[in-house]
Amino acid sequence: MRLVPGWLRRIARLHKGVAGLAIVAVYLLAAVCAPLLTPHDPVKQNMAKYMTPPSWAHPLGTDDLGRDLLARILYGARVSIVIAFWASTLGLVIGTALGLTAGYYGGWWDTVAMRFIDLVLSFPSLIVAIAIAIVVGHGVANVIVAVGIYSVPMFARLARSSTQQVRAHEYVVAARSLGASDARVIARYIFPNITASLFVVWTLRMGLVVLTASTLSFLGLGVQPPTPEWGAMLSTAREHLRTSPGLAVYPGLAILGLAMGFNLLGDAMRDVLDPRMRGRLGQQYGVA
Amino acid sequence: MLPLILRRAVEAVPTLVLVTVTVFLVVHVIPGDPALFLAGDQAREEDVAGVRRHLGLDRPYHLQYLGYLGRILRGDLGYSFTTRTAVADVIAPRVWPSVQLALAAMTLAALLGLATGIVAALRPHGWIDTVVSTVSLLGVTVPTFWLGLMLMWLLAVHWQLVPSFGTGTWKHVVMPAITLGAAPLGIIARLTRSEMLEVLQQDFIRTAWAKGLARHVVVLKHALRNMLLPAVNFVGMQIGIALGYAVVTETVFAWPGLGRLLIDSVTVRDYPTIQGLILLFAAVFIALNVVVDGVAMWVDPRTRHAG
Repeated sequence: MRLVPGWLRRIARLHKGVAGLAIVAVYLLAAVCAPLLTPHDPVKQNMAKYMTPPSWAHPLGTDDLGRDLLARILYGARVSIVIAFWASTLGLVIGTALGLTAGYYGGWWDTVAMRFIDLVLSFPSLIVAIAIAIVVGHGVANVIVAVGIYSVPMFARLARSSTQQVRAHEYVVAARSLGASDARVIARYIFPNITASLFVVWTLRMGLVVLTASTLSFLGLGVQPPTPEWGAMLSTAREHLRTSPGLAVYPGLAILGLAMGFNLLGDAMRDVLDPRMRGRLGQQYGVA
Repeated sequence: MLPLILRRAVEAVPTLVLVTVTVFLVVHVIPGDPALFLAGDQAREEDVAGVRRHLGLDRPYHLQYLGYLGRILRGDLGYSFTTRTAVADVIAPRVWPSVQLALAAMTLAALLGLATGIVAALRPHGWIDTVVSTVSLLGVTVPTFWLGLMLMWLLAVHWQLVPSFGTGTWKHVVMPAITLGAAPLGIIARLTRSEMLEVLQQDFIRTAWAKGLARHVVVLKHALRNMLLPAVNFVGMQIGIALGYAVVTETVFAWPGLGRLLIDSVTVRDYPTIQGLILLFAAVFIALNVVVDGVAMWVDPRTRHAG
């Protein structure tokens, strides 16, 4: 097996692919190497350094509790990436399981599963995330659950429609008539043929998850202080907009950058892995 | 046409009923005993039991639900834990500010989004197209609340062009409307562009060009008409999504609407108000979908004459 898979090399040939890969790599690096990149503690308070302007010791200044802003942003990458990955994966796993079985078996199970999806979709999407967050409570794991469940309908619908398409192909019909069990048909023929588009949406979804999770934290429903989370940081920055606008500028840029990185990467993956999804359908899955 | 819309409206009823069941169930999942809350920490056991009986919380769930459904149908959403007045009275004054904000934001998003999307499609990969694509990508990836904060910092604090929060004049609406409208604007521009590109490749457009029609006639008459149906659908979808994001915008700008009421109610754990608001959001969202379908049928001559 080659060291770099072919599709990854094809992504790296696209401008947006390179940009997306580079951005996500920088954030991953910041998350992993945060302790090496800054000597400061992101949580420990130091009231002697109350909102100091940028300096050599504190390149972006300090916040209202005397903590280094750069350190909080770097460590914040850990929180956001962990949430993006796990919430998107949770949505992918539950959504695929629901959509694949609904699309494959049809019948009453299809009706029940799709009724459930329609029910979730009959609330404005952010309201769903907010409502789940109210029920499950605060903290990183809770945000992952809230944003993960909120991502289920998108994966379920995609998995269902792709399964229905693949299922109608002759090789599936042939496999079934040769006596292959449902489990074998799903594992051997259906699943491998629907993974490409799911993988694309999973990447695009991470961009949306970054935005939604930070929104919940901004509203006070997500990750709580003193954990360095960009949305929660912006919520306190709002009160100091007049005196220290930097507190509001940089965490927002951090969110914007990561969301954009996942979006560009997902877009490039769509072009390479699943050209059929380009156009209206693909854009819908990317942003809605 | 009318029977079609009516059928669509009737089809929405089971969904609405399911929504009420969900909201009812969710409230029973949330930790905390409302009776204990209303009676207060110091209340005696009998008093709590009295409140529970008064609220009907000692009855079986299905009876409680039917009672709940009956009260909703009569417009009774229960009593707010904080103000101790009817939830409907707490919600009512918040409706108009939210409608105002949504109207301003969506008018901005729809008009600008459609216009820039069409212009970008006329010269694909030209400089206007590049600018529109970049700005619409930004519109989709900028966190709504951060955009609000940045506008507040620049327009209100730095240049002092508009007041930073509150309501009253048109100047108060500017920043919240841009904040809420940015994401839908970006998406509408993107979808309009790809839809327009598709329409412009159709045979009847080639015929129109071949007939020697002027550019504005081809674009505005032939192409735009065929764009209308998808446009109604995706603009409608964006209104629905914006409904949720109004919560964020209203919180940033201290806008006295429904979204901010929701966040305030969450902070003080005013469950009856939260429940009423979420129900209202869902009802408006479902109604909106019916209306969008109705408008889509109305602009589509095929269904207009069929019905």
